[in-house]
Amino acid sequence: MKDEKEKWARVRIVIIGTIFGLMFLTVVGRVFYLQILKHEDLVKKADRQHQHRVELTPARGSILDRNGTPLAESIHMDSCYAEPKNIKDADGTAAILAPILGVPKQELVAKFSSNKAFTWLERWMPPYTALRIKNMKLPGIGFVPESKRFYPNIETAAHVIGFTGRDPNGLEGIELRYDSTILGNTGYMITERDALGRNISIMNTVFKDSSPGKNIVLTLDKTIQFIAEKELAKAVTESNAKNGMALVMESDTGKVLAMANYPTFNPNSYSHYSLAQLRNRVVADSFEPGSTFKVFTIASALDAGVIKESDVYNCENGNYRIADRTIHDDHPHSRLSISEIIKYSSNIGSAKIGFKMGEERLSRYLRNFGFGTRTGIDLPGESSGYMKRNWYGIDLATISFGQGVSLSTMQLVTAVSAIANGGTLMKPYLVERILDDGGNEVQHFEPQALRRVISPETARKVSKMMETVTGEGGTGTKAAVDGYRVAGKTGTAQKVDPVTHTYSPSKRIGSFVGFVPADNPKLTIAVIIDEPQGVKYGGVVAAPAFKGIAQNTLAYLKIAPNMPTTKTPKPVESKNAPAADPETDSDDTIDDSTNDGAVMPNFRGMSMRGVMQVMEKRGINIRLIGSGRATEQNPPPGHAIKGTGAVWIKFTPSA
Amino acid sequence: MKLTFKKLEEYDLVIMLMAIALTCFGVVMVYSASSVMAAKRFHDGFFFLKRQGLFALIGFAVMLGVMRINYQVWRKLAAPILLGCLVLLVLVLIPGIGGSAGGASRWIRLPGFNLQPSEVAKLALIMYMAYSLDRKQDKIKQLGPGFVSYMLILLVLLGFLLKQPDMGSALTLAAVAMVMLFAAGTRLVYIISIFLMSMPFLYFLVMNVAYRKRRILAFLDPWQDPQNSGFQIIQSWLALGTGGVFGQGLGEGKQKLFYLPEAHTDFILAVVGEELGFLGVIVIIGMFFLLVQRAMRIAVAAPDAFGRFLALGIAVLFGIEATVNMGVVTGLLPTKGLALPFISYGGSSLIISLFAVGILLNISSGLKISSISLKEEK
Repeated sequence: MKDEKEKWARVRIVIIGTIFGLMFLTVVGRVFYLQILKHEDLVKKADRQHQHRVELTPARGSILDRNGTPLAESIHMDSCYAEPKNIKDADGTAAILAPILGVPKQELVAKFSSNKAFTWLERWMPPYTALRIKNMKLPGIGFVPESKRFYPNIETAAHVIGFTGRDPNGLEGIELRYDSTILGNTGYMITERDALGRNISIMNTVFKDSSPGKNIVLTLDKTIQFIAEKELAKAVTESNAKNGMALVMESDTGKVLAMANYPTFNPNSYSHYSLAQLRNRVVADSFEPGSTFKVFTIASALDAGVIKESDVYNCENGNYRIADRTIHDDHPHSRLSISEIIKYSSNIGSAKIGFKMGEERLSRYLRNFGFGTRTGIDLPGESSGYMKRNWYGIDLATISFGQGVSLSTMQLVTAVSAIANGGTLMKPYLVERILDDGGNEVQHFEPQALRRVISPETARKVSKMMETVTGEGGTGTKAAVDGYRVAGKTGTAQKVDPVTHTYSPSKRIGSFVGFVPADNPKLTIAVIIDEPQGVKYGGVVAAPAFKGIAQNTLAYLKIAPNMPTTKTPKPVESKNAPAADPETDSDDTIDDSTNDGAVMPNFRGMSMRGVMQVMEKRGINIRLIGSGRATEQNPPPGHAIKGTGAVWIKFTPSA
Repeated sequence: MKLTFKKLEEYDLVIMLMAIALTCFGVVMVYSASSVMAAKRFHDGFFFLKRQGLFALIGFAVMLGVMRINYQVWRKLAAPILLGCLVLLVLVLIPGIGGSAGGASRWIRLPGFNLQPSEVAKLALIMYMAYSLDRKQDKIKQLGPGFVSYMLILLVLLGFLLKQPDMGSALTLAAVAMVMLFAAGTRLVYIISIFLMSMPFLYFLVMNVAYRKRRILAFLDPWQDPQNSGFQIIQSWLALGTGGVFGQGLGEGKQKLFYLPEAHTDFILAVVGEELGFLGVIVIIGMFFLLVQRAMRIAVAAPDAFGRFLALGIAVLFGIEATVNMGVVTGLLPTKGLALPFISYGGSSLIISLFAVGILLNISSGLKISSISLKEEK
């Protein structure tokens, strides 16, 4: 009986042992299922949890002006984030942070109680705020350094530099055009994180290092840019215009020294501005040039040999009928020399020269000047302007004086530079050098000649003619710069109404384009004033800004004046100094000791060349009629020069 | 207390080896699982290693000491120990004496050591039941002395444990008691009835306590709420799954890095699985199985009924603790706070376990265990 009991007791123990055996087996089966069968699936899930792809944002390279002054820089700022999972006291944390971040507490509580693993609180936090929060060592609140673009000069050259978005990509200007250069390569690393979100190990992680961006050195000069912006702003505000543009280019090389738009904007907070205000109109907008275009018509005709310098055209006293249209001149003249057609900006004269050139030849020359095609400036969004393929009716006539054709300021300045530099069209450019992050040059951009457009001789002739514009009696006298010869051309174009597609009765674009010093051009400058109110002439609204830019830039670049000043010396000096200015002593035959530009010297018997030298020195503009030796002059020697049209010298070929 | 000094070969060296191996392995795994967390929390990566190492040394000493104490001593001490244990279970509930963690007061703070009375209670109950069942062998089929009396004792113990609350220990205790009663020959009807009767009570216990309810729901479908209630079991699965066959290598696991809660205590097997793979887990399971089987054999071979019940109770305790813990870690069972004996961090559990191994070893002395079979013996 007892044995029986013992036996049953053992049986029961064996049963229990068997049950345990089965339980252990079940566990083994389960572990096999999880570790072997579900292995890959669970590894994937675990990786998703442990691994985090951290983008390593490279700092953008700097954008510098040609002297190395930074125009755009990247600075590191702390961005503050929250990991709601790790915030134990959402309410308390929110109460602490709300006043510091300046957000309603409820908003933070909602963020902190969310199910998200990660949420930004404030990106690019001011350093002091970041430090304050860091010192609190709040659980679940973290910081990560992020690069932020900073434009130290605020509005200066804003349109050229452009700006970047929140992610570090360039959105406009040089920032966009050279984005891949400046940004370098975005690196990333796969980090493994613990549940607190901290990176635990960089072993066994796939790395792609971010390479720091390269630095861009522009051809732009911050000082010249500043000058251009200041003068442009003055011109636009004084004429109550809608907006304005200014462009300064090195005539020989095509280097852009300054490019200004007004109104400008602050690239540090670009989102506060309208898209229109962010647009770099200098390259992106095209407009009908009007009279400035005559320069190219005449340069083409001279170069083609269709006209001669000495030709005189009947300018029909201001009304000239072609087909069913009548062309008007603002300043009616009967007979004008080629130079005078530029000086007085005669539409009729230009049209007649255009006719003489013919459509095919003129069109070819104009295209060679770069009209109708993009200049290739290294900025995004360049306009190609508009040149008709086929010209009909009076197109030839109107295009000859700048109607029915459109161009960008960039194209205009590039083409005028070709006249200034002796006939070569240069490719304009803004980026001079690319430096690596250590400051070593990796690329250098050289001036690039595109083609010869006109002969050096033609260029010189046109240049001379353009000088008369700023001379006495010209349309652009306000552009004259003391001590320098200034070649230029005014323009006052009717704007095409975008709605009616006809010329607006009141809206104008006043412009002035030219180069200094005319005898050895360094700078090509254009000032375009869009929709000035009141007096709308380019010679009135744009020329003074041209003068301001030219004068200050020449002084800044230490380009010495090579002409006596035509104005009376400053009062202080005039008291002490004798009336005679030694610089006016010339070896010319004219005896002129008074140095009074307003008095007509005796030119009789002089060669045209000699007369012109005197004119240059005095800064006076005189109509030169005929060829040979001076025989007649008005006013007579010693008389004051008054007005413009009445000053002339007649030359007669020597027998 | 009679101390017997026998040669080492007299004892069941297999079970001793298993216990020592599991303990040493546990110390290593506790270190691996806790170092990063300890470095962060205590600024000492070795914090848990040092403590667990010390517990292991104390535990070994206890085991070797108890091994030499004739287990008949526990027959006399069983009732006083159980009474003392009840006192401890009351003390732990008194604020100021009981230390609490996570809303439960489970420890009595002693200088340099926190005593967990529930661990002591498990062995105390086993001792007492072995003693009592041995005495009442003839009345075991009767409802009153053979069943209800134990149920009353159990009810008191469970009441205190649930008050802590420590559901894991309570259920373990109940399971151990039932299995011992079954082994002693209590009518199966009683056991089944009490089980059925306790169901509504269990349901009430689970569904009326928010965290237990969440645990059950999370057990049924952890992906419903992977960030909260399902988090622990999902993290455990990820750890095990990442391990594969061979594991990531000792110390290379990532789940212990704040993903896996209780990595060094209840969920240490998940860390084993991640770092040592399926093979490592199989070895652990195998060792536990061997340990339990050896203990069962000692029970079968025990020279008297007291020794048999004592050895069986201990075997059942290890078996239940190990399988339930593994079931929880692998998601077969809902989460409850239950340590893996010998391996999980915890001084009370380890020392009591080694104490119990000491008793087993003493029972085993002089027995030829390796050849034990059903018919064998006498």
